[in-house]
Amino acid sequence: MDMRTEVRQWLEQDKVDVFLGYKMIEGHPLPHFFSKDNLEEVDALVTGPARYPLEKIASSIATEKPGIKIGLLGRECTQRALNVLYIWNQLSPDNVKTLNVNCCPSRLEAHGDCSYLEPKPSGDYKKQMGLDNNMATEQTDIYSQEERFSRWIYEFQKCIKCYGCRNICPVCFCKECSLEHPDLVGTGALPAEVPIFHMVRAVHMAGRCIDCGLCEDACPMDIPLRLLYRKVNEIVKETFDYEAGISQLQPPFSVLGDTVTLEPKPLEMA
Amino acid sequence: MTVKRVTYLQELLEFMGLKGRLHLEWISSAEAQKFAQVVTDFTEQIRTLGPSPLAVFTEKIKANAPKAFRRPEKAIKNMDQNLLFHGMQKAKSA
Amino acid sequence: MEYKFVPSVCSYCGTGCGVLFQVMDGKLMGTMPLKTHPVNEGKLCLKGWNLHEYINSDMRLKSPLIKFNGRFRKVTWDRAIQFTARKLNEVVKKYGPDSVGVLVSAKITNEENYLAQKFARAAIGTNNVDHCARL
Repeated sequence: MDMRTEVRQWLEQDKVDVFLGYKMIEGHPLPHFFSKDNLEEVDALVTGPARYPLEKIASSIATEKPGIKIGLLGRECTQRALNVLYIWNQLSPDNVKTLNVNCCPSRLEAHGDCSYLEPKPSGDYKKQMGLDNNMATEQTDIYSQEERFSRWIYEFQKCIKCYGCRNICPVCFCKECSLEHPDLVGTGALPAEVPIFHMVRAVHMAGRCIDCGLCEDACPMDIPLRLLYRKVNEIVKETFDYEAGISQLQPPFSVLGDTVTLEPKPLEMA
Repeated sequence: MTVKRVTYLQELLEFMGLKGRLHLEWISSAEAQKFAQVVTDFTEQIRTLGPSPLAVFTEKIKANAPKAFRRPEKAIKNMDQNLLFHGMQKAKSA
Repeated sequence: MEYKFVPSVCSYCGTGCGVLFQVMDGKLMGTMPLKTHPVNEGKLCLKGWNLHEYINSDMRLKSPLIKFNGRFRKVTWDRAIQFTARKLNEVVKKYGPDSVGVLVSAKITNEENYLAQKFARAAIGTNNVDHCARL
Protein backbone atom coordinates (compact mmCIF):
# COMPACT_ATOMS: atom_id res chain seq x y z
CA MET A 1 0.00 0.00 0.00
CA ASP A 2 1.23 3.45 -0.72
CA MET A 3 2.90 5.23 2.19
CA ARG A 4 0.76 8.34 1.96
CA THR A 5 -2.49 6.39 1.84
CA GLU A 6 -1.50 4.47 4.91
CA VAL A 7 -0.64 7.62 6.85
CA ARG A 8 -3.92 9.19 5.80
CA GLN A 9 -5.74 6.12 7.01
CA TRP A 10 -3.99 6.17 10.35
CA LEU A 11 -4.88 9.81 10.92
CA GLU A 12 -8.48 9.43 9.83
CA GLN A 13 -9.08 6.37 11.96
CA ASP A 14 -7.48 8.05 14.99
CA LYS A 15 -4.86 5.35 15.37
CA VAL A 16 -2.38 8.18 15.87
CA ASP A 17 -2.93 11.78 16.94
CA VAL A 18 0.04 13.18 15.03
CA PHE A 19 2.49 11.80 12.51
CA LEU A 20 6.12 12.86 12.27
CA GLY A 21 7.47 12.76 8.77
CA TYR A 22 9.41 14.91 6.34
CA LYS A 23 8.13 17.56 3.98
CA MET A 24 9.96 19.68 1.43
CA ILE A 25 9.87 23.31 2.51
CA GLU A 26 11.78 25.80 0.35
CA GLY A 27 13.99 23.07 -1.02
CA HIS A 28 14.93 21.53 2.33
CA PRO A 29 13.45 18.29 3.65
CA LEU A 30 12.31 19.24 7.14
CA PRO A 31 10.51 17.24 9.83
CA HIS A 32 6.85 18.08 9.83
CA PHE A 33 3.81 17.37 11.92
CA PHE A 34 0.95 15.85 10.03
CA SER A 35 -2.30 15.92 11.95
CA LYS A 36 -5.98 15.48 11.27
CA ASP A 37 -6.56 19.21 10.81
CA ASN A 38 -4.52 19.43 7.63
CA LEU A 39 -4.94 16.08 5.92
CA GLU A 40 -4.19 17.45 2.48
CA GLU A 41 -0.58 18.03 3.51
CA VAL A 42 -0.05 14.27 3.68
CA ASP A 43 0.33 14.29 -0.08
CA ALA A 44 3.62 16.12 0.35
CA LEU A 45 5.13 13.47 2.63
CA VAL A 46 8.61 12.39 1.54
CA THR A 47 11.18 10.13 3.12
CA GLY A 48 13.79 12.70 2.26
CA PRO A 49 17.57 12.54 1.92
CA ALA A 50 18.14 14.22 5.29
CA ARG A 51 18.07 12.46 8.64
CA TYR A 52 16.81 14.13 11.80
CA PRO A 53 16.46 12.60 15.28
CA LEU A 54 12.69 12.07 15.09
CA GLU A 55 12.64 9.82 18.12
CA LYS A 56 14.17 12.57 20.24
CA ILE A 57 11.40 14.94 19.15
CA ALA A 58 8.86 12.23 19.92
CA SER A 59 10.18 11.68 23.42
CA SER A 60 10.21 15.42 24.16
CA ILE A 61 6.58 15.65 23.07
CA ALA A 62 5.73 12.64 25.21
CA THR A 63 7.17 14.39 28.28
CA GLU A 64 5.09 17.49 27.62
CA LYS A 65 1.88 15.70 26.77
CA PRO A 66 1.83 12.16 28.10
CA GLY A 67 -0.68 9.88 26.49
CA ILE A 68 -0.49 11.39 23.04
CA LYS A 69 -0.28 8.84 20.22
CA ILE A 70 2.61 9.47 17.85
CA GLY A 71 3.34 7.96 14.46
CA LEU A 72 6.91 7.93 13.18
CA LEU A 73 8.70 7.44 9.92
CA GLY A 74 11.05 4.67 10.97
CA ARG A 75 14.27 3.32 9.60
CA GLU A 76 16.28 0.58 11.25
CA CYS A 77 18.22 3.05 13.36
CA THR A 78 14.96 4.63 14.49
CA GLN A 79 13.70 1.20 15.51
CA ARG A 80 16.78 0.52 17.61
CA ALA A 81 16.54 3.95 19.25
CA LEU A 82 12.90 3.34 20.08
CA ASN A 83 13.78 0.01 21.68
CA VAL A 84 16.30 1.70 23.93
CA LEU A 85 13.84 4.47 24.82
CA TYR A 86 11.17 1.91 25.71
CA ILE A 87 13.55 0.14 28.08
CA TRP A 88 14.40 3.42 29.79
CA ASN A 89 10.72 4.39 30.09
CA GLN A 90 10.94 7.50 27.98
CA LEU A 91 8.28 6.34 25.56
CA SER A 92 5.52 3.83 25.87
CA PRO A 93 5.26 1.22 23.14
CA ASP A 94 1.45 1.48 23.18
CA ASN A 95 1.58 5.10 22.09
CA VAL A 96 4.01 4.80 19.20
CA LYS A 97 3.43 3.37 15.73
CA THR A 98 6.18 3.25 13.13
CA LEU A 99 5.98 3.18 9.37
CA ASN A 100 9.07 1.30 8.23
CA VAL A 101 11.00 2.56 5.23
CA ASN A 102 14.15 1.40 3.52
CA CYS A 103 17.38 1.60 5.39
CA CYS A 104 20.86 2.84 4.57
CA PRO A 105 23.23 0.51 2.72
CA SER A 106 25.47 0.12 5.77
CA ARG A 107 23.34 -2.93 6.48
CA LEU A 108 23.84 -4.13 2.90
CA GLU A 109 20.31 -3.40 1.74
CA ALA A 110 19.88 -2.95 -1.95
CA HIS A 111 18.18 0.42 -1.99
CA GLY A 112 18.68 3.11 0.59
CA ASP A 113 16.93 6.39 1.41
CA CYS A 114 19.44 7.59 3.93
CA SER A 115 21.74 10.58 4.11
CA TYR A 116 24.55 8.28 5.16
CA LEU A 117 24.83 6.71 1.71
CA GLU A 118 28.45 7.54 1.09
CA PRO A 119 30.49 8.44 4.15
CA LYS A 120 33.00 11.19 3.44
CA PRO A 121 36.55 9.91 2.93
CA SER A 122 39.14 11.34 5.33
CA GLY A 123 42.09 13.35 4.07
CA ASP A 124 45.69 12.15 3.99
CA TYR A 125 47.01 14.32 6.81
CA LYS A 126 44.25 13.17 9.10
CA LYS A 127 45.06 9.53 8.36
CA GLN A 128 48.70 10.22 9.08
CA MET A 129 48.30 12.13 12.34
CA GLY A 130 44.96 10.94 13.64
CA LEU A 131 42.41 8.29 12.85
CA ASP A 132 40.37 7.57 9.76
CA ASN A 133 36.66 7.97 10.49
CA ASN A 134 35.68 5.00 8.38
CA MET A 135 38.09 2.40 9.69
CA ALA A 136 36.91 -0.74 11.47
CA THR A 137 37.73 -1.16 15.15
CA GLU A 138 39.99 -4.15 14.49
CA GLN A 139 42.25 -2.04 12.32
CA THR A 140 43.30 0.04 15.32
CA ASP A 141 44.98 -3.00 16.89
CA ILE A 142 48.08 -2.46 14.80
CA TYR A 143 48.93 0.71 16.71
CA SER A 144 51.01 0.50 19.86
CA GLN A 145 49.83 2.08 23.11
CA GLU A 146 51.76 5.34 22.73
CA GLU A 147 50.73 5.72 19.13
CA ARG A 148 47.10 5.07 19.97
CA PHE A 149 47.21 7.73 22.63
CA SER A 150 48.86 10.35 20.46
CA ARG A 151 46.41 9.70 17.63
CA TRP A 152 43.36 9.94 19.82
CA ILE A 153 44.68 13.07 21.51
CA TYR A 154 45.23 14.62 18.09
CA GLU A 155 41.57 14.03 17.35
CA PHE A 156 40.21 15.11 20.73
CA GLN A 157 42.27 18.28 20.78
CA LYS A 158 40.11 19.68 18.02
CA CYS A 159 36.97 19.51 20.15
CA ILE A 160 35.30 22.89 20.64
CA LYS A 161 32.79 21.55 23.18
CA CYS A 162 29.79 22.62 21.20
CA TYR A 163 27.81 19.77 22.87
CA GLY A 164 26.40 18.96 19.44
CA CYS A 165 26.99 15.23 19.83
CA ARG A 166 25.01 15.17 23.04
CA ASN A 167 22.24 17.50 21.85
CA ILE A 168 21.43 15.49 18.76
CA CYS A 169 21.86 11.98 20.18
CA PRO A 170 18.44 10.29 20.19
CA VAL A 171 19.12 8.25 23.35
CA CYS A 172 20.49 11.11 25.46
CA PHE A 173 17.66 12.38 27.63
CA CYS A 174 19.07 13.19 31.07
CA LYS A 175 17.77 16.45 32.46
CA GLU A 176 20.90 17.04 34.51
CA CYS A 177 23.63 15.95 32.19
CA SER A 178 26.84 15.02 33.94
CA LEU A 179 28.78 16.70 31.16
CA GLU A 180 27.63 20.01 32.59
CA HIS A 181 28.68 19.18 36.13
CA PRO A 182 31.37 21.67 37.16
CA ASP A 183 33.41 19.12 39.10
CA LEU A 184 33.66 16.58 36.30
CA VAL A 185 34.16 18.65 33.19
CA GLY A 186 35.77 22.03 33.70
CA THR A 187 34.55 25.11 31.92
CA GLY A 188 36.08 28.37 30.88
CA ALA A 189 39.57 27.13 30.13
CA LEU A 190 41.13 27.59 26.73
CA PRO A 191 42.04 25.13 25.20
CA ALA A 192 39.25 22.85 26.42
CA GLU A 193 40.17 20.10 28.88
CA VAL A 194 40.28 17.01 26.78
CA PRO A 195 39.90 14.05 26.73
CA ILE A 196 37.75 13.98 29.87
CA PHE A 197 34.65 15.14 27.98
CA HIS A 198 34.83 12.29 25.51
CA MET A 199 35.75 9.66 28.11
CA VAL A 200 32.76 10.59 30.27
CA ARG A 201 30.53 10.46 27.24
CA ALA A 202 31.96 7.07 26.17
CA VAL A 203 31.30 5.62 29.62
CA HIS A 204 27.72 6.87 29.57
CA MET A 205 27.09 5.51 26.10
CA ALA A 206 27.78 1.92 27.20
CA GLY A 207 24.61 -0.05 26.70
CA ARG A 208 22.83 2.90 25.07
CA CYS A 209 24.54 3.80 21.81
CA ILE A 210 22.73 2.36 18.79
CA ASP A 211 25.28 3.39 16.15
CA CYS A 212 23.07 5.75 14.17
CA GLY A 213 25.94 8.10 13.29
CA LEU A 214 24.13 11.38 14.00
CA CYS A 215 26.85 12.49 16.42
CA GLU A 216 29.58 12.27 13.83
CA ASP A 217 27.37 14.12 11.35
CA ALA A 218 26.88 16.91 13.87
CA CYS A 219 30.53 17.26 14.92
CA PRO A 220 32.04 20.35 13.29
CA MET A 221 35.58 19.04 13.77
CA ASP A 222 35.12 15.53 12.28
CA ILE A 223 36.16 13.62 15.37
CA PRO A 224 35.78 9.84 14.77
CA LEU A 225 33.00 9.38 17.32
CA ARG A 226 31.38 6.49 15.53
CA LEU A 227 34.61 4.48 15.74
CA LEU A 228 34.84 5.10 19.49
CA TYR A 229 31.25 4.17 20.26
CA ARG A 230 31.42 1.11 18.03
CA LYS A 231 34.34 -0.10 20.14
CA VAL A 232 32.31 0.66 23.26
CA ASN A 233 29.48 -1.49 21.94
CA GLU A 234 31.90 -4.28 21.13
CA ILE A 235 33.28 -4.28 24.67
CA VAL A 236 29.77 -4.44 26.09
CA LYS A 237 28.80 -7.24 23.75
CA GLU A 238 31.89 -9.30 24.53
CA THR A 239 31.80 -8.88 28.28
CA PHE A 240 28.06 -8.81 28.99
CA ASP A 241 26.52 -10.23 25.81
CA TYR A 242 24.21 -7.24 25.54
CA GLU A 243 23.42 -5.30 22.39
CA ALA A 244 21.71 -1.95 22.74
CA GLY A 245 18.54 -1.71 20.71
CA ILE A 246 18.26 -5.44 20.04
CA SER A 247 18.21 -7.04 23.49
CA GLN A 248 15.00 -6.51 25.35
CA LEU A 249 16.59 -6.69 28.79
CA GLN A 250 17.73 -3.90 31.07
CA PRO A 251 21.26 -2.77 30.25
CA PRO A 252 23.97 -4.26 32.47
CA PHE A 253 25.06 -0.96 34.00
CA SER A 254 21.68 -0.20 35.49
CA VAL A 255 21.07 -3.56 37.10
CA LEU A 256 22.50 -4.22 40.54
CA GLY A 257 23.88 -7.70 40.86
CA ASP A 258 25.59 -9.89 38.35
CA THR A 259 24.21 -11.06 35.06
CA VAL A 260 27.62 -12.55 34.29
CA THR A 261 30.27 -13.64 36.74
CA LEU A 262 33.30 -11.42 36.48
CA GLU A 263 36.57 -11.51 38.32
CA PRO A 264 38.78 -8.45 38.69
CA LYS A 265 41.78 -8.78 36.41
CA PRO A 266 45.03 -9.74 38.13
CA LEU A 267 48.02 -7.42 38.15
CA GLU A 268 50.33 -7.82 35.21
CA MET A 269 53.75 -8.46 36.55
CA ALA A 270 55.86 -7.19 33.64
CA MET B 1 28.51 -3.38 39.75
CA THR B 2 31.97 -2.08 40.51
CA VAL B 3 33.54 -5.07 38.81
CA LYS B 4 31.43 -4.47 35.71
CA ARG B 5 32.36 -0.81 35.52
CA VAL B 6 36.06 -1.29 36.20
CA THR B 7 36.38 -4.15 33.68
CA TYR B 8 34.68 -2.04 31.06
CA LEU B 9 36.83 0.97 31.85
CA GLN B 10 40.03 -1.06 31.67
CA GLU B 11 39.11 -2.20 28.16
CA LEU B 12 38.25 1.33 27.13
CA LEU B 13 41.53 2.72 28.45
CA GLU B 14 43.41 0.03 26.57
CA PHE B 15 41.70 1.19 23.41
CA MET B 16 42.80 4.75 24.13
CA GLY B 17 46.39 3.78 24.81
CA LEU B 18 46.48 3.89 28.62
CA LYS B 19 46.74 0.19 29.34
CA GLY B 20 47.31 -1.20 32.80
CA ARG B 21 46.81 2.00 34.80
CA LEU B 22 43.63 0.92 36.58
CA HIS B 23 43.38 -1.96 38.99
CA LEU B 24 40.67 -3.22 41.32
CA GLU B 25 41.23 -5.25 44.46
CA TRP B 26 39.03 -6.10 47.43
CA ILE B 27 40.91 -5.90 50.71
CA SER B 28 39.46 -6.00 54.20
CA SER B 29 40.84 -3.66 56.84
CA ALA B 30 42.16 -6.70 58.68
CA GLU B 31 44.38 -7.87 55.82
CA ALA B 32 47.13 -5.34 56.25
CA GLN B 33 49.86 -7.46 54.74
CA LYS B 34 47.92 -8.12 51.56
CA PHE B 35 47.28 -4.38 51.25
CA ALA B 36 50.98 -3.59 51.51
CA GLN B 37 51.80 -6.28 48.96
CA VAL B 38 49.23 -5.09 46.44
CA VAL B 39 50.29 -1.46 46.73
CA THR B 40 53.97 -2.32 46.25
CA ASP B 41 53.24 -4.48 43.23
CA PHE B 42 51.03 -1.87 41.61
CA THR B 43 53.57 0.88 42.22
CA GLU B 44 56.17 -1.31 40.55
CA GLN B 45 53.88 -1.89 37.59
CA ILE B 46 53.26 1.83 37.17
CA ARG B 47 56.94 2.59 37.46
CA THR B 48 57.65 0.12 34.67
CA LEU B 49 55.05 1.74 32.45
CA GLY B 50 56.51 5.18 32.93
CA PRO B 51 54.86 8.61 33.26
CA SER B 52 51.29 8.74 32.02
CA PRO B 53 51.06 10.26 28.53
CA LEU B 54 47.95 12.12 29.66
CA ALA B 55 49.81 13.94 32.42
CA VAL B 56 52.61 14.81 30.01
CA PHE B 57 50.09 16.20 27.55
CA THR B 58 48.23 18.28 30.16
CA GLU B 59 51.46 19.78 31.47
CA LYS B 60 52.57 20.71 27.98
CA ILE B 61 49.26 22.41 27.28
CA LYS B 62 49.28 24.34 30.55
CA ALA B 63 52.83 25.52 30.03
CA ASN B 64 52.21 26.70 26.50
CA ALA B 65 48.83 28.34 27.01
CA PRO B 66 49.07 32.14 27.01
CA LYS B 67 48.59 33.64 30.44
CA ALA B 68 45.35 35.44 29.62
CA PHE B 69 43.58 32.22 28.70
CA ARG B 70 44.13 30.22 31.82
CA ARG B 71 41.00 29.33 33.72
CA PRO B 72 39.53 32.59 35.07
CA GLU B 73 38.44 31.12 38.39
CA LYS B 74 38.46 34.35 40.34
CA ALA B 75 36.31 36.24 37.85
CA ILE B 76 33.67 33.53 37.86
CA LYS B 77 33.63 33.20 41.62
CA ASN B 78 33.01 36.86 42.22
CA MET B 79 30.41 38.51 40.09
CA ASP B 80 29.05 36.53 37.22
CA GLN B 81 28.22 33.48 39.29
CA ASN B 82 25.79 35.47 41.44
CA LEU B 83 24.11 37.06 38.46
CA LEU B 84 23.84 33.75 36.64
CA PHE B 85 22.47 32.08 39.72
CA HIS B 86 19.73 34.68 40.14
CA GLY B 87 18.76 34.43 36.52
CA MET B 88 18.52 30.67 36.75
CA GLN B 89 16.53 30.79 39.96
CA LYS B 90 13.95 33.08 38.41
CA ALA B 91 13.78 30.94 35.28
CA LYS B 92 13.24 27.78 37.35
CA SER B 93 10.51 29.23 39.49
CA ALA B 94 8.65 30.74 36.52
CA MET C 1 -1.28 21.26 20.62
CA GLU C 2 0.58 22.91 17.82
CA TYR C 3 4.13 21.97 16.97
CA LYS C 4 6.00 23.64 14.13
CA PHE C 5 9.48 23.46 12.69
CA VAL C 6 10.68 26.85 11.51
CA PRO C 7 13.87 27.10 9.41
CA SER C 8 15.91 30.20 10.04
CA VAL C 9 19.42 31.64 10.13
CA CYS C 10 21.55 31.97 13.25
CA SER C 11 21.73 35.55 14.50
CA TYR C 12 25.17 35.53 16.03
CA CYS C 13 28.20 35.85 13.75
CA GLY C 14 28.56 36.70 10.10
CA THR C 15 28.74 33.07 8.92
CA GLY C 16 24.97 32.58 8.93
CA CYS C 17 24.45 28.86 9.64
CA GLY C 18 21.01 27.40 9.00
CA VAL C 19 19.07 26.41 12.11
CA LEU C 20 15.74 24.72 12.66
CA PHE C 21 13.61 25.97 15.53
CA GLN C 22 11.14 23.74 17.31
CA VAL C 23 8.13 25.84 18.24
CA MET C 24 5.45 24.42 20.50
CA ASP C 25 2.28 26.41 21.11
CA GLY C 26 4.00 29.60 20.05
CA LYS C 27 6.98 29.15 22.37
CA LEU C 28 10.51 28.27 21.28
CA MET C 29 11.55 24.93 22.72
CA GLY C 30 14.68 23.79 20.94
CA THR C 31 17.23 24.35 18.21
CA MET C 32 18.62 21.91 15.69
CA PRO C 33 20.92 22.39 12.70
CA LEU C 34 19.59 22.29 9.15
CA LYS C 35 21.16 19.24 7.57
CA THR C 36 20.83 20.34 3.96
CA HIS C 37 21.97 23.95 4.36
CA PRO C 38 25.00 24.70 2.14
CA VAL C 39 26.81 26.80 4.76
CA ASN C 40 26.94 24.48 7.75
CA GLU C 41 25.75 21.08 6.42
CA GLY C 42 24.21 20.01 9.68
CA LYS C 43 26.79 21.34 12.17
CA LEU C 44 26.50 24.17 14.68
CA CYS C 45 28.71 25.86 17.22
CA LEU C 46 27.89 26.24 20.90
CA LYS C 47 26.19 29.61 20.40
CA GLY C 48 23.98 28.24 17.66
CA TRP C 49 22.87 25.25 19.72
CA ASN C 50 21.58 27.48 22.51
CA LEU C 51 19.66 30.11 20.52
CA HIS C 52 16.38 29.05 22.11
CA GLU C 53 17.62 29.84 25.59
CA TYR C 54 18.48 33.47 25.23
CA ILE C 55 15.25 34.38 23.47
CA ASN C 56 13.11 33.30 26.42
CA SER C 57 15.59 34.19 29.13
CA ASP C 58 14.49 36.07 32.24
CA MET C 59 17.62 38.15 32.15
CA ARG C 60 16.70 39.97 28.95
CA LEU C 61 16.36 43.71 29.25
CA LYS C 62 12.88 44.88 28.33
CA SER C 63 13.13 48.63 28.80
CA PRO C 64 15.91 51.23 29.16
CA LEU C 65 17.38 51.62 32.64
CA ILE C 66 19.26 54.54 34.23
CA LYS C 67 21.21 54.31 37.45
CA PHE C 68 19.98 56.62 40.23
CA ASN C 69 21.95 56.49 43.49
CA GLY C 70 23.47 53.15 42.63
CA ARG C 71 20.17 51.45 41.66
CA PHE C 72 18.70 50.92 38.23
CA ARG C 73 15.31 52.50 37.43
CA LYS C 74 13.09 51.94 34.41
CA VAL C 75 12.75 55.00 32.17
CA THR C 76 11.16 55.83 28.85
CA TRP C 77 13.11 55.71 25.60
CA ASP C 78 12.98 59.49 25.16
CA ARG C 79 14.46 60.17 28.54
CA ALA C 80 17.19 57.58 28.06
CA ILE C 81 18.22 59.01 24.68
CA GLN C 82 18.29 62.57 26.04
CA PHE C 83 20.38 61.45 29.01
CA THR C 84 22.90 59.60 26.81
CA ALA C 85 23.20 62.49 24.38
CA ARG C 86 23.78 64.95 27.17
CA LYS C 87 26.44 62.85 28.85
CA LEU C 88 28.25 62.12 25.59
CA ASN C 89 28.31 65.81 24.80
CA GLU C 90 29.83 66.54 28.20
CA VAL C 91 32.53 63.93 27.74
CA VAL C 92 33.40 65.15 24.24
CA LYS C 93 33.58 68.76 25.42
CA LYS C 94 35.74 67.97 28.41
CA TYR C 95 38.16 65.35 27.04
CA GLY C 96 38.00 65.80 23.27
CA PRO C 97 36.36 63.64 20.64
CA ASP C 98 39.07 60.96 20.64
CA SER C 99 38.13 59.84 24.14
CA VAL C 100 35.07 58.02 22.79
CA GLY C 101 35.23 54.66 21.01
CA VAL C 102 32.48 52.81 19.16
CA LEU C 103 32.37 49.00 18.99
CA VAL C 104 30.05 47.32 16.48
CA SER C 105 29.27 43.64 16.05
CA ALA C 106 28.05 41.04 13.55
CA LYS C 107 24.80 40.62 15.44
CA ILE C 108 23.30 43.87 14.10
CA THR C 109 22.50 44.49 10.46
CA ASN C 110 24.89 45.99 7.91
CA GLU C 111 22.80 49.14 7.75
CA GLU C 112 23.01 49.60 11.52
CA ASN C 113 26.76 49.07 11.39
CA TYR C 114 27.03 51.81 8.77
CA LEU C 115 24.99 54.15 10.95
CA ALA C 116 27.20 53.45 13.93
CA GLN C 117 30.41 54.30 12.11
CA LYS C 118 28.79 57.40 10.60
CA PHE C 119 27.72 58.46 14.05
CA ALA C 120 31.26 57.99 15.34
CA ARG C 121 32.93 59.83 12.50
CA ALA C 122 30.45 62.63 11.71
CA ALA C 123 28.58 63.23 14.97
CA ILE C 124 31.27 62.62 17.57
CA GLY C 125 34.25 63.28 15.33
CA THR C 126 36.47 60.33 16.21
CA ASN C 127 38.14 57.60 14.17
CA ASN C 128 37.96 55.02 16.97
CA VAL C 129 35.61 52.49 15.32
CA ASP C 130 36.18 48.75 15.61
CA HIS C 131 34.37 45.45 15.11
CA CYS C 132 34.03 42.53 17.51
CA ALA C 133 35.33 40.09 14.88
CA ARG C 134 38.67 41.85 14.79
CA LEU C 135 39.43 40.88 18.40
